[in-house]
Amino acid sequence: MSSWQPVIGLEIHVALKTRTKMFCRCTNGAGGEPNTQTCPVCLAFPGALPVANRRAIEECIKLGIALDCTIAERAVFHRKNYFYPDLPKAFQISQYDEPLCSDGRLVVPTATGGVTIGIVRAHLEEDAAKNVHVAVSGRIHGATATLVDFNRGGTPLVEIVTTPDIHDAETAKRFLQLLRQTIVELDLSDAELEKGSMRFDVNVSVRPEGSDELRTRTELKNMNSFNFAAKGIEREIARQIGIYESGRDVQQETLHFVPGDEESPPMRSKEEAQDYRYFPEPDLVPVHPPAETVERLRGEIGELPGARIERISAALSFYDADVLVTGGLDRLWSALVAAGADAKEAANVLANQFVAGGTDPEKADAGELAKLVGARSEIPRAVFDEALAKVGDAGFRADPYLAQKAVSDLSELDPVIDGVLASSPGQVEQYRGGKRGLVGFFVGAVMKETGGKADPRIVNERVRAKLDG
Amino acid sequence: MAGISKDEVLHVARLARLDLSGAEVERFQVQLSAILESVSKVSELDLSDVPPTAHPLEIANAWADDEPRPSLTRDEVFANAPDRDDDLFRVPPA
Amino acid sequence: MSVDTLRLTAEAAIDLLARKELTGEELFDAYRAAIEMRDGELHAYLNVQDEPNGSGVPIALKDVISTKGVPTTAGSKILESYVPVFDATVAARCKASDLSLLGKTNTDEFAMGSSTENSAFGPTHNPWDPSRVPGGSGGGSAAAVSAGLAPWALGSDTGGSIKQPAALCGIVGLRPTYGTVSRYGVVAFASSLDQVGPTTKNVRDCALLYGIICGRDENDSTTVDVPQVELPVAEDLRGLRIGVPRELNEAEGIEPGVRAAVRAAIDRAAELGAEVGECSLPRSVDYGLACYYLVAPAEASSNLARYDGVRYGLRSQGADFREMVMNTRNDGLGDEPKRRIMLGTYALSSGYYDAYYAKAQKVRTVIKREHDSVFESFDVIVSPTSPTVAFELGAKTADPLSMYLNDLLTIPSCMAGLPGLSIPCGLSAGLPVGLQLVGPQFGENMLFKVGHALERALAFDGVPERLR
Ligand SMILES: [Mg+2]
Ligand SMILES: [Zn+2]
Repeated sequence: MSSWQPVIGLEIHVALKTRTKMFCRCTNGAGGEPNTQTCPVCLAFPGALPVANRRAIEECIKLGIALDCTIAERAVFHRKNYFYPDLPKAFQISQYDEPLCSDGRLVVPTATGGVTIGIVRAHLEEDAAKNVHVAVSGRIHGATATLVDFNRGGTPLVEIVTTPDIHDAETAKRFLQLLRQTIVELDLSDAELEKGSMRFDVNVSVRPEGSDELRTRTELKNMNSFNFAAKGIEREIARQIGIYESGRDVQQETLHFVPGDEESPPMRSKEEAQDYRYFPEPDLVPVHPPAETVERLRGEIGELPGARIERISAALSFYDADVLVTGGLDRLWSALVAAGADAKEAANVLANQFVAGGTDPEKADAGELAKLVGARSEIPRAVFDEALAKVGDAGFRADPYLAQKAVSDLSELDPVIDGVLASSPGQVEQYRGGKRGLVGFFVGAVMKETGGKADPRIVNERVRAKLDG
Repeated sequence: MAGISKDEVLHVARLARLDLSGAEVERFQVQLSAILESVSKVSELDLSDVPPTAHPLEIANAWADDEPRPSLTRDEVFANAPDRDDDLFRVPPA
Repeated sequence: MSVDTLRLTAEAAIDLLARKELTGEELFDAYRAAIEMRDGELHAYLNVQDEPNGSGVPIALKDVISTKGVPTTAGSKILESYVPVFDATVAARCKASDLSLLGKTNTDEFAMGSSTENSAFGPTHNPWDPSRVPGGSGGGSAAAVSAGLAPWALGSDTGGSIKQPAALCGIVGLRPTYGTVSRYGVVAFASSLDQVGPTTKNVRDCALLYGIICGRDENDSTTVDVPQVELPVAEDLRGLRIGVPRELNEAEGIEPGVRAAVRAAIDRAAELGAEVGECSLPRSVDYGLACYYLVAPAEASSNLARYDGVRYGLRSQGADFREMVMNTRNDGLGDEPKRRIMLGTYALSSGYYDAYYAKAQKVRTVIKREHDSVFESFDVIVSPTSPTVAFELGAKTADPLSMYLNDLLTIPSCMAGLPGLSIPCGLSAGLPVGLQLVGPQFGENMLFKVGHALERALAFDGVPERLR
């Protein structure tokens, strides 16, 4: 393995959640009755013309800024020509050599520091409609007819293309997760893989460690979960290495995974050389993003998740920072620390009991939660868990739970401990005979007697003292 | 550069989804070759420092606000449809 | 009162309606009667309406203009059964001005042609001599207006389809500045060139109709706001600088009779007070045709790709989608669209893009710059609209290239997006000759002014002799 370096590039499509489509004013967001969100433009009736959606253009620019791209002073829409039932004009309006955003980067934080992934371009285009292949088997092959619903046709898409400088599946996965969270936080798209509002293709090739050649790559499609993608990439890397090591050559092909089914092997298809005949879309005029618009959009972008992970990593570990930010817990964490909670303690509580409690971080009262975090070691486990499950409730108060602090007062504990030892001479005998493990038995009994209110740490010390003394 | 071979005619016809008859291929090869011969004139000029014109008017940023408008009715959508299956357009298997 | 549709101008008709000497219905019926009488011979119309849908002056629309509920075929078999569910913006603006639709006029298939012989539904004949073509692609609209089958009509012009038929039929035609008239709902041929414009009996009617259809349309991103249209009144041309581009007036192929009529018109202009001077468009004429026959087919190859038998129009059978599409297009499209689709596909295909399409786009810049510099010293440039008068049906159908040469003189200004007006300026061998006036971008008012003054001075009788 070590003598081979994987080379991975990603191409991501994200459906913007604008109110209307990219080039017509039909309602965006398919899901209505088939073909009810269509008009002469998105059905490509003769003479219909596209008009670009201002909001979509601004959102693409916004994402471009978030990805540290250069925003073009002049961007142009091109026609990508090919025939398919779901492409009513027989061309897709996309962007070619003058994209809206180019030359950016996204820094993916890792335990060993940030990995910078280059962004070649982020451009606007329109989505295709939806083909339904009806047949006995339901598979494309052997279909008896294709049915088309044009509701999705014309949905605004941002296409993001990375440079092929990702070298392992884990980084690819982390990049995709971070990109998704960035897009969702910017409120550009719900970016749901299951719904197809975020889709990605992966290009994979391998080369001898140290060389900079680019060997034949294969394209992996329809992997609609990040973990699945990581696995698929691992497998493909291994497959290619196997091929080279057995003296053969990798064939350029596309591997179509069966959505949702990680086990069944992907369907393979040769790339038939396409000739899309790109040329400038003459029905649209160029885009010259006004400087004031770009600045306004820049101002609307807050601290992005990647940056937050890096900042919090400095205070905690990368692991904790990653969990907090990707779990959407980091803003609450900051509030807890501001309210006086210990940073590490707060992170642990949020990552464990809080998440287990299933409370919406937005709803939690940081002040009250901070009190609980501070008293964690002194409150019985059961009580603490119960408190965290309720911390989101309206008017939640920590005090009632803090009042149930564990009993550590010896004058209360000693009589109970003595009673337990007295009532189990046999076990005392065995303990003194060397069965040290029995200490747990005595502690358990005491906890039982005190209804779980005793401080187990103190009880433990005390039992040992009495038996060993 | 001028002149177009029979294979090129067939290739271009495939790209354009035209199922030409043998006679058409013959005819178009002759006619297209003649036309290409004359349009190849454009390569006589030295245009190295000339920018392209995609559009007679130099205008930009013609955008529409993101405000929904009514879509077509079902009857309008399918008024001219050669074939349909309930609310979907039907075509032979892709 | 009886209406002489051969001589009644739209402006006069509007006046009759305003003075209640005539109702819109009576006017409509008069044209319907003329159509009954003469269109059997001319075949200017593909579709005629039985009832007026407005109370104003009737109008005929070229059949590339979408009309809600009225078939719109673009002269193609592939759209023979197509009935739009929406109006083109220009059709809607005519309706809004209460113009009632007389019918849809014949056109070369997808407006590709210079004789209307490429119509899938048979050619239109020239009212001056039915054995000859009316020009094209808008031969139907030109013949209808010339023969009194419509007071005025709309055409569409990509490389000369309004001006050239107007010239060959002895009437007035305007190709407006690119971007001044909406293309929304107009069956597309070449998007960066297509423009809708009026075909009329005289220049004032032309200005009136242009005023109705022009102006920015939010459904067409390439349209702009236009200057207020002024109806021309001036009868002299004092202070006007007229340029006579050598290459447009001495190009080989210009018939002597055409040259003489145009020369005479230029002399009249001088007598009206205009300063006439020679100028030059060295590369616009030499390279214009080549540039046009790369750019227009390239855009057409993409614009016509939507005719795939899926959502409307002809559908031929096929075992799978690909086969269905290939059969549909092969059965539904005629030779000229096929030729241009293949030419354009070739010009855009990998390996040829740079040599053809990319080069043509640069030549287009050269043509634009040449015109810009000419308009620094002239207000308008003049030339013949067409090198020849109307030719015999079938004379050029066998040789596409010779047919393309008809647009030699109209194409350069189209490539530059400039407005061009064609007015009749005399006869050659008993057939009309057209004078082409080209102005700078948005120079329509000036073209109307010059056209109107010359029209008065030349006093050309636009009624075909055989119909007088
Ligand atoms: Mg894409
Ligand atoms: Zn739509």
